[in-house]
Amino acid sequence: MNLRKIVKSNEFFLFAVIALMCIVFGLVSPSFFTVKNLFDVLKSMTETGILAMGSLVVMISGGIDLSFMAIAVFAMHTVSRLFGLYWNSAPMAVLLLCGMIIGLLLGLFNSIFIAKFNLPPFITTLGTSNIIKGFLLAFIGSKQFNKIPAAMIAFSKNNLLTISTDEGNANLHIGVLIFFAIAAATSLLLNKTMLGRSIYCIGGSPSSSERIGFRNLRILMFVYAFAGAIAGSVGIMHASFQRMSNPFDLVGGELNVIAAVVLGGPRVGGGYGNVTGTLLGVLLITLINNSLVMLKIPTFWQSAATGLIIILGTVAQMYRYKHSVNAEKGA
Amino acid sequence: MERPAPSADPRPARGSCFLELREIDKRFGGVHALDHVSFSICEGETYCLMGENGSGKSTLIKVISGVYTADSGEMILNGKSYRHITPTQAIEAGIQIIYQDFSVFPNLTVAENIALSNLVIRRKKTIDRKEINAIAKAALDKLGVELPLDREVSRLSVAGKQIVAIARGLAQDVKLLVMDEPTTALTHKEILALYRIIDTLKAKGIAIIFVSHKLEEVFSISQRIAILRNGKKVLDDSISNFDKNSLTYHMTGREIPSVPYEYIPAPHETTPILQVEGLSQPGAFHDISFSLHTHEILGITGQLGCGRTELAKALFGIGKNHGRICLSGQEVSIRSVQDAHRLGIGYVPEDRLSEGLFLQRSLADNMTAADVDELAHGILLDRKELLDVSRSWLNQLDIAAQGPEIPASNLSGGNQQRIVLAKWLQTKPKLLILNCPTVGVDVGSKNQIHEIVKQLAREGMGIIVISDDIGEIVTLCSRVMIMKDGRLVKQVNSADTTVEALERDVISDDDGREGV
Amino acid sequence: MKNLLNKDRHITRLLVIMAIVLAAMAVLNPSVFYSASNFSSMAVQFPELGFLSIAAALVLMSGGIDLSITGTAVFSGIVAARIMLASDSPDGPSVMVVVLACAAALLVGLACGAVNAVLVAKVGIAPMLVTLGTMNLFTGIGIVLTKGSALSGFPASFLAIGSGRLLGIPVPLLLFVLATIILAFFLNKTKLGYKLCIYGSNPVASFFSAINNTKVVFTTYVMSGLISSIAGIIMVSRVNTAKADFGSSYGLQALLVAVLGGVDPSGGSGKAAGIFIAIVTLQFLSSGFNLLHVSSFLKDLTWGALLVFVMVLNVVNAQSKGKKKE
Repeated sequence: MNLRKIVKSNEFFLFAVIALMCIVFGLVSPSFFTVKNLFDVLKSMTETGILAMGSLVVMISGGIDLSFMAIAVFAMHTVSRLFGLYWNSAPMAVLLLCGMIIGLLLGLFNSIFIAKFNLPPFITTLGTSNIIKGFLLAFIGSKQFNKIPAAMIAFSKNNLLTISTDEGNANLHIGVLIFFAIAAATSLLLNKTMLGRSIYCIGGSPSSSERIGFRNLRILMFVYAFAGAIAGSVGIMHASFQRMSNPFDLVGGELNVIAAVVLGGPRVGGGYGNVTGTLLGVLLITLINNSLVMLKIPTFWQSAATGLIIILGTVAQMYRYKHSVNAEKGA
Repeated sequence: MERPAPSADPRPARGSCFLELREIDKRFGGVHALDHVSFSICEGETYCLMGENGSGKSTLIKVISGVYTADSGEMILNGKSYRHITPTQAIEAGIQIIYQDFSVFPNLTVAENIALSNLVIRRKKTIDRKEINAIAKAALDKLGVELPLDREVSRLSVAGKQIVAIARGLAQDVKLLVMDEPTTALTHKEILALYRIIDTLKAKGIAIIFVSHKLEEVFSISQRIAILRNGKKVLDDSISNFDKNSLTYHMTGREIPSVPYEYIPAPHETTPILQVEGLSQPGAFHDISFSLHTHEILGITGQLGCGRTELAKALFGIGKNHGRICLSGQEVSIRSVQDAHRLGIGYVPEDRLSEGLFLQRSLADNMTAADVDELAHGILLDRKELLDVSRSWLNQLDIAAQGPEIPASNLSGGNQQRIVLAKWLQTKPKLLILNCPTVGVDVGSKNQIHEIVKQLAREGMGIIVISDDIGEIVTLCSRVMIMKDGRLVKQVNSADTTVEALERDVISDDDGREGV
Repeated sequence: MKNLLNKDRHITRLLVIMAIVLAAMAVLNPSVFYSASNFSSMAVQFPELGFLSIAAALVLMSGGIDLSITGTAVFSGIVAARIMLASDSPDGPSVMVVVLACAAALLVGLACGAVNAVLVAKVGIAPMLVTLGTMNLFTGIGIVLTKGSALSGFPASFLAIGSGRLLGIPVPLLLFVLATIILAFFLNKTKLGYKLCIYGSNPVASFFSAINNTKVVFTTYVMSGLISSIAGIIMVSRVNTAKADFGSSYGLQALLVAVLGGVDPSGGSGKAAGIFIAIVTLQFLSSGFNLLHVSSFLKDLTWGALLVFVMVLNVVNAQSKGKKKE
């Protein structure tokens, strides 16, 4: 019985699709199944993957956050400029921490409107995204900044593991470790803490959640603050990878993250979703993006492709959901 | 607060009561839900809280549980005075509510649903699966029921969900247990188990408030009884001072239910307006056959989850159904709501707020929504005409409103229900299906709606009424069908039975439940 | 008119805002703002946003959201551009070709709307997700068709749409005024407009009232697509360029205009007059910003802040209204 349950689950479906894709890629390009490629794929998953964790938590609570990219860029550029100009030798940990704090505060800003005034999260975060971005570009800086703190540049070269292979050095970047750590932490939060379960409760039935004693307002504030903090950390890492801070970066990439999360299983109404599914979704999206490069498809196809995937993915999910509901009814 | 007669159970002095409410007052817009209600309950007492729908019972419970804040008044809990309490404070003080709408989380498992509340008040930060399962199992054992602990609650039957809700209330130490109509979906066996639990709790000195309108339950469980009517407490006394008749009088404010509807068949009419043969919907109901004549009011009743709503909706074109339906002798295929509408069938849904009304829209919009295509001239719609049509309905159904342009949210429950009724009457249906038509409606409106329905039947409409208010069924319907587990188990003329007999028929189970 | 003011506080509030903006401009930069050339250029600019706002408003009233309106607009414009540029006659494309190009653009709009409509109405996926996906898909196709660059050089007959004048009034403005009148007629006088508001107010009750929900939703998204394509044609014509990323900030502004104009983001109500006044006000504000050399970043900030602010105001108003009743 348990095996049947696993096979029917969304995660297995994704896994099967990914496995299929890998086989196809492997046939087309033999260099797919190399350690170097594996490490590269892992590295390109890092940013999207970490952001996906934040978006996952928000979606489970029944909301959505479209401002996370703006938060990431804001944190990125502010920290880069501030520390770059006044404390260039700051250690990476401090930089990351500051980024996360800024992100957290911006996330709390979001939560005021959504949790306190009950505004629809979608339009609200669309608005706050503009506010944050506009503020950044108007008052903090709108030009690319190159003198980022030394620690950031060092971070980008910080590889956990370097293996010499036929295709060149296979580098496992430390960012991947951070990614897995955050994913593990999120999973722990969602499955093993009351706070995590309360997020599922709010997503499942906000009124019942109040009745059994949860404080909805506080939980929602946490959710958006969490997403903000995560976005902040990604911002710092992004500047590090790019070795400079460009305030026009990142924005526009929201869709990739949302597509990854949606493929992973959460329903728009909230109450469902888990880290495993999201990780698989991120992997799938990353593979598709990478494959477009590999198949030498020009970058301007990417938008269309991602859009198409999100549509196909949600349609597939919809049919699977309806099918399973009908199957139960008939039983 | 009224003091009981000297021969009744003596009550402890005021100060030692577990919970006391003083002059609690609460309004919702134009509705005065609680009118300076004072109430107290002490250790070991079992109160039955009674009242018609709309009397304020649910509001009172939500004030006790901390979900609602009273507009004025005071709550004294464990000797401490509060202006109002939060749900957390209530739970911490030992107040547990089993809600009428269950308040379960459909996306979580059975075990989690049962154990969560327990964990919340113990301020646990982490989750231990073993602990959750243990808590859940212990609570279910108390009820003598088995449920798969890791099944998602959304996939349980209605009875299963109710059991989860009850188990959650029992999952921890409780000082005051409030149960809002907890037996609506349970079998006889399960109900007996619940009564046993209540006895055990009583013996431990736990206070219980039990909301029910089933007279048998009231007399077998409670010591004291409190009755609310139109937001006021009209009775607070020991149960030993009453019998069924006097109780009914106090609840409804009138002696016996009004004259039951007498069905007089139309002369020369042999074809039933509706004939159903072997109608089935997988997972909901099986092999239902019955007929309905014009001028007749047929009642369908049964416990929550028996399939009655699905049957009504099937006649309205909702759901995947097999079987034969004939209207006035012609076989018809009702595959969509539009089909039903075209065939002259109307349906007043169970939940008027979410299924029947457009709360932000005007009364005119609400009353014409089902007849738009007829009222339109081609693609054009004359708003003035809609207003005129609406005004005439406001008059005909005696709806208390300033005019057809005010939003539907402004009206009271009884008037809102009449708006939904007007919507369907506008379409001049031949067959009208009413699902729980007087839920949450004050007594006066209830009577008026009943009269309207009876008049419609006298004028030739065929009417089906679904209700779990047996009194309503007996008053309104000339014939009653009882459903259980999706099957039609009994048909009887209301003249040949009584309210008590019907109530017994509804909860009796000969074969037990096959599993939820 | 007085009746309108009394009945709808949104419109009253809007007129107050507009008055404030106009007054501020009078103080800060009267000579340039209150000039014929300024009003003339404003009159040409806002109609394209106006059409997008109508599209956004219609979908919002149905309780959904259409994020793909700018994608549809851009895609339609690019299709028209490609058709005109593909003509190889020496004098440039004939009027026939121009008409064909515009017709094609409208068809693209209908098709885009239909894609959204099928996914939302028939398959049942949340509009937010569908239109997020189609936004990228349509823009992406636009990028593919232009290979990322800008197309330009269109015939005078086409440019007349965007920069021409009829009796001294810019053509786009005339088109938009016409569109607003049609919108008002649609909402107030037609069966479908009525059903749209009813459905938006409570889809479940609408279903139980025998209204064909699928048809209502389907038509709404198709209309949104069509109207967006009109915006697209005007956009290309006005600046004589077709680019895939043009007007990306219009998405948020269209939503802002709709919400400012009194459309309830959860569905069910909206007034054509409100949208018209809102867009005019926004245009005044935008031009004012330009003339005062306010950076475009601050402009974006303002739109976002205004959107959130107006929604908060709506909630606060509703709450105080509820309290007043008791």
